[in-house]
Amino acid sequence: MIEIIVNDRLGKKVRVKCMPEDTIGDLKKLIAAQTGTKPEKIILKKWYSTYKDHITLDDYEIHDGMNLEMYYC
Amino acid sequence: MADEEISLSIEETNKLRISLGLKPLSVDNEPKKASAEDNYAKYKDDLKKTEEAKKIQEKIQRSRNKRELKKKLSGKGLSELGEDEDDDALAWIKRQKKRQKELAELKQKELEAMDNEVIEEYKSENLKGLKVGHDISEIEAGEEEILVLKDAMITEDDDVNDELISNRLTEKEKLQKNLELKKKRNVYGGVYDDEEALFGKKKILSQYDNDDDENKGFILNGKGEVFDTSIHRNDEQNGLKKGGLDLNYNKMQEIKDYYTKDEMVSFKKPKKKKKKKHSRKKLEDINDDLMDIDNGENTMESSSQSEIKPVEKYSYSNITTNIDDINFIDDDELQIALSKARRKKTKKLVKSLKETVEDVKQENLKEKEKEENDNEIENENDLSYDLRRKEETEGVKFINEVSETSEFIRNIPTLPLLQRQNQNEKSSHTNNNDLIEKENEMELESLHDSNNEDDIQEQKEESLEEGEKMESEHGEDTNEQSTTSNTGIAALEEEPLISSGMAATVSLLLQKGIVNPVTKEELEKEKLQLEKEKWLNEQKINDLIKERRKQKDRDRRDRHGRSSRDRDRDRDYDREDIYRERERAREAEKKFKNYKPVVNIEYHDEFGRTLTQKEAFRQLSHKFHGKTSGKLKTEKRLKKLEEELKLKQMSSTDTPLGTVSALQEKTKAMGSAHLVLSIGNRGVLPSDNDIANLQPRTDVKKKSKETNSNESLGTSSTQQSSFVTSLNNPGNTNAPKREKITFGLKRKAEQEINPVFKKRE
Repeated sequence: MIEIIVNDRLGKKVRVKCMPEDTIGDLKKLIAAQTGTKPEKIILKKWYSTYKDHITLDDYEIHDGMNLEMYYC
Repeated sequence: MADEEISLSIEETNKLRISLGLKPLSVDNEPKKASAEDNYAKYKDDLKKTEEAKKIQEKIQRSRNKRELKKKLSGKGLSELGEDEDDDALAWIKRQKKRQKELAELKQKELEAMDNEVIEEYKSENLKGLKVGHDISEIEAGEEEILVLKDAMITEDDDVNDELISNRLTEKEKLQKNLELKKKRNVYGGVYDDEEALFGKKKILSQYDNDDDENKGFILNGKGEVFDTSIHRNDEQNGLKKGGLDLNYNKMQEIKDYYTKDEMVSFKKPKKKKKKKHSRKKLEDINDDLMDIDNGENTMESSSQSEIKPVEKYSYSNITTNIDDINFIDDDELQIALSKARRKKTKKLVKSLKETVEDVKQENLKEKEKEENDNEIENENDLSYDLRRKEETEGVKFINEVSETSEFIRNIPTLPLLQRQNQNEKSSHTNNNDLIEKENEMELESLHDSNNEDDIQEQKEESLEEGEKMESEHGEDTNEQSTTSNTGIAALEEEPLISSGMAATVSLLLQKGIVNPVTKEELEKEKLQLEKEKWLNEQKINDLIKERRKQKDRDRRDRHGRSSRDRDRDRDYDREDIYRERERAREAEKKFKNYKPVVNIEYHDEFGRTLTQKEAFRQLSHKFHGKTSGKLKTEKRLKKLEEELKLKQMSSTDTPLGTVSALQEKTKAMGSAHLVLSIGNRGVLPSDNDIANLQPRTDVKKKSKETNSNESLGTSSTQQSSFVTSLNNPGNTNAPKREKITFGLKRKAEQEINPVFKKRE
C-alpha cells in the first residue's frame, strides 16, 4: 500500500491510500470519492506530463508519499 | 484550508475499493520478505556446499599426484643401489652393455618403421592426377627437375588439386614476364583492336587478365607418364577463330516456313545491307552461269542461255532500272539551298529586266515633261533659260568644277576679267534700269518743253515699248547663242568662246563657278525691285508735275488778281486737287498691296566680315554689357580668323606663297625640267657654269648665284619666295653627281595677312 498526496492548489489536498498496481483511472475514482468531484473531470499532472488513465502507478514510477497535481477540466 | 488533508483510513478505503471493484489493499509486504530470506539462506547453503566439495576434490587430487610421484620414484635410489647389489665394476659394465644393446634395438625398430612409412606413402602411383604447373617443353629431357607443391590457400572444402612446380622454372618465368612488362606493350591502341575484330566483343580491360599460367601444365599419370592437357589449349585456339568467317557453309539448307530468332535478326536488318547481299547473290548467279557456259555443251539450251545472259549481265547498268525512282542526290539540304539560290537569281534577273524597261519608260515620260516645261519657260525670256535647258537636256549642272585648267584660269587673270564680266552681266541684267534712267532723263528734258501729261505718258509708253523690244531682241540673241552653244557642246564639256557673245561669256562664267547661276527667287526679287523703282520714278515725276502745276496756278492768280470767279475757279482747282490726291493714294495703296520687302539683317564686325547669328549675338551682348571677352579668348578668335583667311586665299594647286608657279617660271627661264639646289653633301648651290664645267665653287660665286636666283624669283612671282640650300655636312665635298632638290620656304605670310586684320577705325 502506498500513500499519495494529490493537491489542486485551490484548497483541496487529498491523501489517498492505494496499491502500486492500481491504474491512474482507479486513483482518480478514489480521489473523486474523497473530494466529491466526477472522476472524468480530474486531470493528474506532474509538471507538464499528464497521466493517462490506463497506465498503472508502478509504470509511472509513482512511489509512496509523492505529490501529484490535480486539475479540473 | 490549504493544510487540511482529506484522508481515509485503510478500512474505509478498502470499502471504497470493493465498491469500485478493486481488490482491497494489502496492508503488509511481509510474505515477500520471508521468501527472499529463505532464498538467500538457500543460496548461501549452496555456496557453502560447493566450496566444501571443491576442497575435497582438491585434497583427493593432491593425494593422487603424490602417489604418482611416488610411483615414478619407485626404483632404487643411488643410496639404495649399493645396498641391494654388489658394488662391482664388472657387473656395472655388463649392465651398461645390455642397456646399450636394448637402446640400439629400439632405434633400429624406429628407423625401420619410418622407412616403411615413407616407402608406403610415396610411390609413383601417389602422383597420379597431380598437375605440374609447367609446360612439358620447359622441362628438358635428361635433366633432373625438383618439383615442389605449390603454395595454395588451405580451405575447408579442399577441391583445389595440388600442383607441382619447380622453383627454378618459376623463377625463370617470372624473369621473362618482367622483361615483357618492361617492353611495355601498347595497352590503349586504336579504338578497335585486332582482338576485338576477332572476338566481336572486347572484354573490359582485357590487358590485365593473364590466363596464360592457369592453362599451362600437364597432369602426371600414375605410371610416371605424362597425361597432356594441351587439348584444352587447342579448344581455346579454336575459340580465337570464332570471330572469323566460316568458309564452308551449308549449301543444302532446308527452307523452313518460319525464321528462327537468329534469322529474324538478319531479316530485320536495314535494306542497304540486303541490297548488297542481293547484288552479291546475283553476281554469284552470274558466275555460276558463266561456269555453266564454260562447262556446258554447245547445245540449243546453252545457246538460249547465252542469248538471255547479256540482259542479265547488263542488269547492273541503268538500262533496265527505273531512273526516275533513283535518288542521285545524297545531301538533300545542300540541294535545297542550291535550288533556292538559283530561284533567287532567276527572279533577280527578271526583276532587273523589268526594272530597266520601266526605267526607260519613265525616262521617256520625264523627257516629255521637260519639253513641256521648256515650252512654258520659253515665255520668260531670261538668260537662265538656255542654261536651265542645258542642265535638263544634258544632265549637266553648273557646279563648280575643279580641274587644273580651271584653277589656272582662276588664278592668273582673276580680278580684272571678273570685274569686266560682272559689268557685262550687270548691263545685261539691268538693261531695263538703264533704259528707265534714260527715259527719266528724257522726260525731265521734255518736261521743260511741254506741259502736257499725255505727251509724257506717250513717251513713256514708247520708251517702255522700246525697252521691251530691246529685251526681246536680247532674248532672241541669247536664244540663238544658246542654240549654237548647245550644238557646240559635246560629251566632254567645251568651254564657250567669250568672243561669240554675252551669253557665251555668262555661260562660261557659270561653268567656272565664278558667277552663281541665277535662281528663281533672285529673278523674282529683281522683278519686284524693278517695279518698285519704276513706281518710285513715276511718283517722282508726278510730284514734279504737281509742283509745276501749283506754281503755274499761283502765277496765274498773281497775274489776274482776286475775283469771285477766280475764287470759284480756285475752289474747282482745289476740288480737282483733292480728287487727284485721292487717286494717288489709291494708286499707292495698290502698289503697296504687292509690297513684299525683303529684309536681310546683316551684321559686320570690325574687320567687315559678315557675322553669323551667334557671333552677332555675342557682339551685341558685349556692346550691351560694355564688356568683352578676355585676352586669351580674343587672341584665339583672331587666330582662327587668320587661318580662315589663309585658307580662303590658298589655291588648291599651289602653295600659299606660289612656289610652284615660281619654280615653273624658273625652269622655263633655265630651259631645264629641274632646278638644282645643291650637289651632294656640299650644301652648295652651283651656278649653271659650274655644273657645266664641274669646277669647284667659290663663296663669291655662290653668293652671286643666290642673288641671281632671288632676283629672278622676285621679278617672276608676285608672292615672295626664295630657295634656300639645305646644309648637310658642309665638310664633305665628295660625290659631285648626287643632286638634291629641295624647297625651303621663308614664311612671310603672316606679314602679308596681318594688316588685313588691323582694326578699321
